[in-house]
Amino acid sequence: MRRVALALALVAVAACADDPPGDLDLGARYVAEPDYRRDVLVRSLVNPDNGYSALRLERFTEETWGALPVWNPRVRPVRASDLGAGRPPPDPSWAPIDLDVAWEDAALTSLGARAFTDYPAQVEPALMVALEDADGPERFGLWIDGEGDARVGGLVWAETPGGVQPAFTCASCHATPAGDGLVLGAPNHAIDYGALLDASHGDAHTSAGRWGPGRVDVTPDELSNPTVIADLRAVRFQERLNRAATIDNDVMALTARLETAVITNSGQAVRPPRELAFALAWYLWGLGDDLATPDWDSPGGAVFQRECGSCHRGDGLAGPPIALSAIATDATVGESPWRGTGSYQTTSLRGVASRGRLLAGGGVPSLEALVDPSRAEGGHRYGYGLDDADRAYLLAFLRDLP
Amino acid sequence: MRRKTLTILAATALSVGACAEGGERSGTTDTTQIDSLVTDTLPGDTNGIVEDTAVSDTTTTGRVPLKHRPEAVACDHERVDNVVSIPDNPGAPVDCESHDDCVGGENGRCVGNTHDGWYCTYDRCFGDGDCSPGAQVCECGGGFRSDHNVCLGQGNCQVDADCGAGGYCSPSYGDCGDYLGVVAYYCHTDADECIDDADCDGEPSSFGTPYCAYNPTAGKWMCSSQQCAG
Repeated sequence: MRRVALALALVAVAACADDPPGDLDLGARYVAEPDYRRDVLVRSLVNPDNGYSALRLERFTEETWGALPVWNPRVRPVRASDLGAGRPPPDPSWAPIDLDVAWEDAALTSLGARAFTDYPAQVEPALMVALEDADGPERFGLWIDGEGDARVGGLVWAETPGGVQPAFTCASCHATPAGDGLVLGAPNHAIDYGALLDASHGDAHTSAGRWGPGRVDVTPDELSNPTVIADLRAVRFQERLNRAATIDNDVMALTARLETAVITNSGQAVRPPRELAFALAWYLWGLGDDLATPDWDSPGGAVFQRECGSCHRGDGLAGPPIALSAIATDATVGESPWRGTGSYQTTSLRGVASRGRLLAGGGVPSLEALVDPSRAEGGHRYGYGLDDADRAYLLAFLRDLP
Repeated sequence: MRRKTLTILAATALSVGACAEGGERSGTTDTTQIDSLVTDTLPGDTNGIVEDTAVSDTTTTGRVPLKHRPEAVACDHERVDNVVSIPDNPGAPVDCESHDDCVGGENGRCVGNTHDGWYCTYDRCFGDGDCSPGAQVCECGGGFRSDHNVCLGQGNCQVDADCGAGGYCSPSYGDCGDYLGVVAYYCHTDADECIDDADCDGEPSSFGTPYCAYNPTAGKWMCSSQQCAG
């Protein structure tokens, strides 16, 4: 049924050649046409000379990464009852993610939502350390969703050819508990992946152990440059993806970003189903709908426009990238030879009140600290001249963006 | 279920070379294991890892891995006892200043450098039985930039016999390559794309020096040039 729907979508693209194709049509092309996929990738890379781009330009071809086996294993969520019980044996109830969906908004959004919480985006045997006992998840900032036999950290058990392995899903790093449930897409600034890696190797003292909660060093550039975990709810407002402004953003570029992230996370052993990569991007694109819109009529709205609006523009509260020298914050992340472009992303502030760390390296812990003239972390020195009343208005405006 | 009786004589006889990463300490073994180890040990044995130099056997993988673990071994209780020297401006956190400060475990030592800082390390195990249930290996001297014994993460074997008749259980790097060193032991199977690092010499290397490691997603040994996630 899905393949029929996909074929029909392609026919529609051809039949309406005079009209610009919609994103769903482009998604169908991405799945079906190697040349189009390659074009999406090439157009999205801001600096073709950095390591991130060079790797993809070399290997995002049909002959290399396109020839990898498709990875959609049987999975089941990790639950509280698994803590201390070791790896479970797979049983018939485990299932891969069902890709057999119609190529339309609601079905793809549903598929993307399922992939966000259930697709094994990165197998990580070290997670067994966090699953050794009931206190393990809390030690490493993995959330528990609810009471009883609740889900743990958005983790899944994945059936691999070598046995069952624990794996992160997107929701492990990009969801936070709030009230009775989870805020999907919001950054988990409690998760401490570096501490997990150290604990899994005899309490090692690696540079990963110094990342602290909410930060991960994702660049194999032999530099210690952990970056803050992103708020994916705001992704569609971003002009560039990654803090180092590595990728020109649109829903197709995001699709390529997600597909290649799974490939590199697997050690270039597998690739995700492309339908799933697009559905995930489609779903993430829609998360922005649920974010509070700025209250421009509030007193803080006017202060924001005056102090912050030249960079964080419009309702998206984002804007073009800004040169590292101009923003003058810690340039460690931006100067990465792996991802660097000479600029930082101007991060959307939609949802900023839910973030536990601010700026690219996560060096500022709160909005209050950000506008405090006495803070130690350098750069981004805006709003410092505000009187107490205007600073309070500005903070109230930002706190209303959960 | 604790430590095996150690035989220092055997340790002396069998301690040649060093693990690929993680320190210079070697394992020791019960005297009952000496014969089998001596037969296989060419030329180095650390932590019970045999390093074969000759292709002299056929297995399910068609070749004997250069590094594999025929027997579980017990680690010794010796640690390097060098003088701790911390510069006036260490540039990193200093949690200890001498070995005497390290009293929170067995065989404490104050180790470090200007990058990682100075901190105490302790022997976490002296044999596989000291580690959590599951396929965990006690890696003698396998600590990160330190010679303390550590329980590695869960692989799928501890010794060759766990991999079936004629099978081999080998040490593997993880996603961080040689930065973190050996993280677990895994069986070789027919599905493997490589057996030793030398099999990866012809792989594209513009993104790091390739090595042969167990890929937990694919469930087999593959060439990788990964140096931490990316």
